[in-house]
Formats: sequence, structure tokens, C-alpha cells
Amino acid sequence: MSISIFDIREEERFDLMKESAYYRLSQKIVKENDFLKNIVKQKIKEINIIKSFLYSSYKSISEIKKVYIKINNKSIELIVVADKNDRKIKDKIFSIESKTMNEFQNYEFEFIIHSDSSDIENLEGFNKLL
Amino acid sequence: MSSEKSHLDQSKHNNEFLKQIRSQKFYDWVATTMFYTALHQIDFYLAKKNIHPINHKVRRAIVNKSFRIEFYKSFRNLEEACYDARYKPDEWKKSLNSITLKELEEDLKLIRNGANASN
Repeated sequence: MSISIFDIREEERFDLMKESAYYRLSQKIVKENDFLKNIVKQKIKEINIIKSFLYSSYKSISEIKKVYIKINNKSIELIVVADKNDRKIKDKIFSIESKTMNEFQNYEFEFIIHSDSSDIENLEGFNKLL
Repeated sequence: MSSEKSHLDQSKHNNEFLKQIRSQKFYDWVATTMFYTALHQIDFYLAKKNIHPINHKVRRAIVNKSFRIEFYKSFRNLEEACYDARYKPDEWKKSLNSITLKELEEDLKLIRNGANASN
């Protein structure tokens, strides 16, 4: 089974692939295999914990306009839209980054701050978190 | 992997280059060189402990774990400036009014002092 089954984009991808043989087969494998089913369940739970941690962290900074997230099996990419010209805001964002890395040490993180969201609206694989 | 000395030499080399190009006209390359000067200063410190980050993600995590938060913030500020200078010319131009060379210099100074003090 592809490791990308843990990708949070899978739900959307499976919707598109619902009629495909691959989808039916992967669903069958997960359904019939308790071990895999538990791994998937655990992973979804873990992803939800990460998302909720990040949501509340970034929500606490009113100057942040938007946050986009992409979670893969072992890596998390975050794009934060905020005023890059303000060092105080950036410092707050860097503090969240630091806390996030301390909290989820099993993941690799990529953090990017954008001033403008217009060029990142349609970035493949990213979901809006905030 | 590169030796401690190589990283220190590269950091010094970059710093010499900085002195030559330090002008508003080449502000983008000043920011980029500052970041890589800081990076090699950090890698010099880490190499002494036999730690050799394989990429930016790993280095970022190590910096966060090994140094105090102000050090991490300065490192990230230089990294962001370097990224914008190379890949986002529009954002970079907009930020030129407020991201001062002085601010980035302070970040680099903090990293150089911090990495040396942690010996």
C-alpha cells in the first residue's frame, strides 16, 4: 500500500478515484486488515491533533491572515500569510514554529511566510488551515 | 561531510565577501550572503560535536533544539530574507523599506556570538 494513504489530501483524491480499481482495492485492503486499519486510524488521530495545535497557535496571533498546511507521512509544510515587514509579527510566528517543532519532533517542518496570498491560493496539496 | 575548519573558513570567506558587496544596490545578495555566513558558522559549531545537518529542514530543527529561542528567531529571519531575495523579487522589493540592513546585521551578529559562546 502506498504510504500516501496517510496524506490528508487522500480524502479528496479518493473522491476522485472512487470508481477506480485502485481505490476499491486499497479500501478492501484497509477494511480487511485490522493492523492497517489501526495504523490509518492512529495517523488520522495524530494529524487531527497536529492540526488543532497549529490552528489554536496561529489563531492566537490576530495579525496572521491565512495559514496553509500540507501534511505528509513524516513532513509538514506551512505557509503563513502575514505582514513580513513587521519584525514583531515575524518573531511571534518564529515562536510558534519553535513550539511546534518541540511538540512534534518526529516530523520535519518547512515554514514559509508570505506577505500576499494571491500567488499561493492554488498551490497543489495545500489545504487552508486558518 | 565537511570538516569544522571548512565551515569556519567558508563562514569567514562569506564575511569577507559581505564587506565587499555591502551596498543598497546589492541588498539581495547581502542578505543571501549573510544567511550563508550564519549557516556555516552554525555548521562549524555543530561539526565540532560531530553533527552534520543534511538539509535545511534538519538544520532548522537542530538550531531550534540546540540554541535559545532568540538565536532561532535570528536564524529564521535571515533565512526568510535570503529566500525572498532569491525567489520572490516583488515581496523582496516591498520589504526593502522596512527590513533594514541593520536588523539583519544584528541577527548575524547574534548568531556569530551565540555559536562562538556555545563552544
